[in-house]
Amino acid sequence: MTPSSRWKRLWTAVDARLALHNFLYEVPAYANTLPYVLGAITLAGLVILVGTGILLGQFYVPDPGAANQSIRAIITQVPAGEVIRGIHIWAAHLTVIVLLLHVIRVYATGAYRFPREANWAVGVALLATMLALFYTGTVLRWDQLGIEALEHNTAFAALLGVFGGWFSPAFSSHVPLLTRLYMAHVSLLPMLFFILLVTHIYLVRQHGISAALVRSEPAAVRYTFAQHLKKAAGYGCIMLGLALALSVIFPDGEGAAPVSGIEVTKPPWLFLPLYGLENLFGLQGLWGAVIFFLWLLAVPILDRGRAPGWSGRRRALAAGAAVMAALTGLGMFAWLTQPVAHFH
Amino acid sequence: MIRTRIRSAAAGGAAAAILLFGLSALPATPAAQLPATPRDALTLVRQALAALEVSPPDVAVATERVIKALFAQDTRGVDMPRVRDAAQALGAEDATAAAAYLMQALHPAEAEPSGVDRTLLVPVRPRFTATPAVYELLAAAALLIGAGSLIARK
Repeated sequence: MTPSSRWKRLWTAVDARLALHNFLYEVPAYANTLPYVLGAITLAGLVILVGTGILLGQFYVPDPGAANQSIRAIITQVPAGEVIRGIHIWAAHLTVIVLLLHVIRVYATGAYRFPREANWAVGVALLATMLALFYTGTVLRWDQLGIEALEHNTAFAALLGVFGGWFSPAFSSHVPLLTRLYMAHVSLLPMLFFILLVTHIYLVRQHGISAALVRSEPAAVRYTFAQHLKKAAGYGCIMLGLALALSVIFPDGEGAAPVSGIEVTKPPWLFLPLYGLENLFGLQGLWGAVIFFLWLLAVPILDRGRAPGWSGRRRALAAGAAVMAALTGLGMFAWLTQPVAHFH
Repeated sequence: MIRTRIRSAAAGGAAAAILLFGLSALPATPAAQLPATPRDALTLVRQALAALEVSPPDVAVATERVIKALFAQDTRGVDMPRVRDAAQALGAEDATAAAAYLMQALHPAEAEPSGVDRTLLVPVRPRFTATPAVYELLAAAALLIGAGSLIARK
């Protein structure tokens, strides 16, 4: 028996049980280009985050009195702990960057329009969940940056009134908010993310990959979804390699044990636009996040035209560019200014 | 058409009512639930130290907290002469010396029941060090990037 026929027999046996041929459905050629693989690369990033997160979870103590010490132990005592934590942190940054690029690609190509409005809404929810994961991860550092992020959580709970109940320390007086946010980071949010992701992928499968905006597909070449996944796995390897290199070249440390009642740090780059709004409008600036996500959800309602190409969507593209410019401007403003006390 | 409009108006009205109900529960001052400025020297010194440990050090905030600490009535766990030294160092805009004095000022707090662990007040700041193990990790990273590029291009 030749090796190739042996592989074929193995494939047939496995496929008969797992129905893997379902992944061999045809996709257009452009679906395997980088802009259209960004969503799948995000998924690869999540696999890295879950893997390293599970390892870190074995050594992290989600208690205000011990969390900072446990991170120091991860860095200095756990074998490869510093590298694993570094990969987790850098992979989180890279995954968010890829996710944002994916959102920009979907917006720019108008892929949120009929019949994909529901999938766009699911995607917006996925983005919000990813940001929540990033935010809760920042709190778990439990250094000055972490506690100030937590105090913003408390402030936002106060802003939300009755809707902010869960975010408030008063919700469960005998369980520290840090512990509850840890639970959210490792259980609640990943579970929500998984449900949304399955829905997202299901709807992509139902509606197919959205049409290419500018590229015409060569009819002779046939690609399958399995090749799409293979490409994503390749980019996932690149992301893991990058995260590893960055964690070695720019190792992330741990700040001093935190003290509450003071604001001397600025949030990670992702939240700088919101921080800029807070600098301008005080705590009320946090509503900016709500308005941004409501706008994202409303995008398919605001842009209901069916005109193909860029020219038919000038208003939508201009609105998107304006929002991007505003976010960049706010981020730059926050980056250049000194940390500001918003509620002390 | 009219029915659809009535329905969407009703849905909008219901959403607005829920929103108003939620917002009605807003406290008069959102900051009311947040911790007030402390009055004990121990917390104030820790806050001043935190302000000096960020990059760049926030000397203005540190100075304000040190001055408050100097006038605090509750000075348990704090070596006040060291706080005065820190104040002088801050006056001379020497943030490093001020941080060192503040760290020394917390020495008595280690024996307090609240137990301030001073080792946890020093940030861990690992740096890139050119060791064989580090180069092995970088080689592994290069291999991953190379293999990933091959898979993605195939």
